[in-house]
Amino acid sequence: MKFWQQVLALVHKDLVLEIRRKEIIISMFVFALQILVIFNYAFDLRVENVKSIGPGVIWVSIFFSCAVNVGRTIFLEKERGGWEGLITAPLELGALYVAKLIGSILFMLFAEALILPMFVVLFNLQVITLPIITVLILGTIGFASISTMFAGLLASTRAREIMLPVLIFPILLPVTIATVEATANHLTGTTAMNRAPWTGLLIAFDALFICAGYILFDQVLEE
Amino acid sequence: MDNFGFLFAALLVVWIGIFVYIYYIGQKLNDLRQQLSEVEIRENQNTKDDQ
Amino acid sequence: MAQITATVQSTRSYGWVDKLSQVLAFVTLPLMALTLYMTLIYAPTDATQGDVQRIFYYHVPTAWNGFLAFFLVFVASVVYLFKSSRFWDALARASAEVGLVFTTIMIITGSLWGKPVWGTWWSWDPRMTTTLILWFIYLGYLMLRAYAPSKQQGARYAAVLGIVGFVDVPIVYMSTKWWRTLHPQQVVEPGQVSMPPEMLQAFMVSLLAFTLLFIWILIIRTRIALIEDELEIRSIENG
Repeated sequence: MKFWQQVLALVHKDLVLEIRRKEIIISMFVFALQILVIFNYAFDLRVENVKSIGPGVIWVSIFFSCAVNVGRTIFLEKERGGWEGLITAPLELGALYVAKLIGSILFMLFAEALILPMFVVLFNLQVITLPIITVLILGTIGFASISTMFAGLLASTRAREIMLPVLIFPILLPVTIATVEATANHLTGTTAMNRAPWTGLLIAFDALFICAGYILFDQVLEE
Repeated sequence: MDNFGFLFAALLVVWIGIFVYIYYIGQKLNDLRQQLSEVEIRENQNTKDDQ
Repeated sequence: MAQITATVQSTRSYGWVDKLSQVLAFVTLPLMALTLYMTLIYAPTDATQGDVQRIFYYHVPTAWNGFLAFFLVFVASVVYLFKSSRFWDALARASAEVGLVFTTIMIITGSLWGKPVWGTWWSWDPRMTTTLILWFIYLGYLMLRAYAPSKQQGARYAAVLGIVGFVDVPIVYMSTKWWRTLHPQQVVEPGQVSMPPEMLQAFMVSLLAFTLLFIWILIIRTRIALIEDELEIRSIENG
């Protein structure tokens, strides 16, 4: 199982680095928290409204803070010179992609585990329920599948920090719509008749783009 | 004709947009062909000098 | 002048394309004139929407060509990743630029049609929204090529984006459509199925004219891309 050994070794390395420095997760958390505060003044989030606007607020905060920060799993590596070593290392096809993907997902999940309770506290809306967490995880996986692919692609590109959100936002629109709608459904208890299969869409999206990333990532790494 | 302004504006956008673009790429093609022929002439001269 | 005709060796191998391009140049101008006549004079005025409805004859063909261009970007990207051929890369980036032009025209005409007929500049309707997303992806594609560290890498990265973007478009369309059924807004774009024959004829002529125009423009733009590549190669060779 050479593939998974390599993936685990890479993920382990990234995790250890992040646990030591905590750069990425803390940046994601703080940025999202600030966005939540801004939302309180941008929209009227009194009790009557919070259920309808809440899902959008959560997801926008997560989305923006991650779009800005998640690329750093790869960009920092490039800055510190480790990226070239990884590209030329004798890794299995797609192992680097899967490793960075898992790393991004874990970092995002850690950050979200901090952000969600803050949302509950600030807006007094219980969102930490199993169905909503499921949606969150699926959305995170979808987000990471695309952002990892494009972060690898942009590693040596000019203006990469702003190019990453610019490139991934349009592609991630289905994930945005699906997570917000699915969360809203669970909060308001919409009957099955009014629902669209958002969770199904998320699962399909995740599967499709993880495969695409796995196949195409090596193209990105060829010099 | 009601709402003629909108129709007129749309037609302008379409026709002017397309013609401007065609003009732009036409110019570009001529410039590039000019550049390429200059480069080729220079290359021919270089090979003549080498001979 | 003789110098200009005597060169361009790299593109001479596509002789049939040159002939096609000449034929198209001959054909598109009269066809465009015919389109103007048929869409503005021959076709009857729509009973409900009035003359503004004529924008439809331009909005839909440019939309179709915008999508066609994107499909070509996808195909060219796939082939390029397999074969690393300069031609396919040139085709991809030419198609992206031409597609962006057509898509921009489509979005603007759509807006200009929507305001008088349905009272709103924009409606988040699935087709327009998907086109807007397409527009963003095209733009990202061209920005990526501009900012990439080298032309070679730029071509490769753009190919990945071309593929991922295209695969995503149906999903974007589906999700915006589902969203729309849940958040209905007052605009409904008509299916335009029951059209009197004169309207259908005008539409078909316009569709044909714009498609041929698109192909002609694409050929020219691809040739530009090929010459740019050729110049770059020679400047590297000559030092």
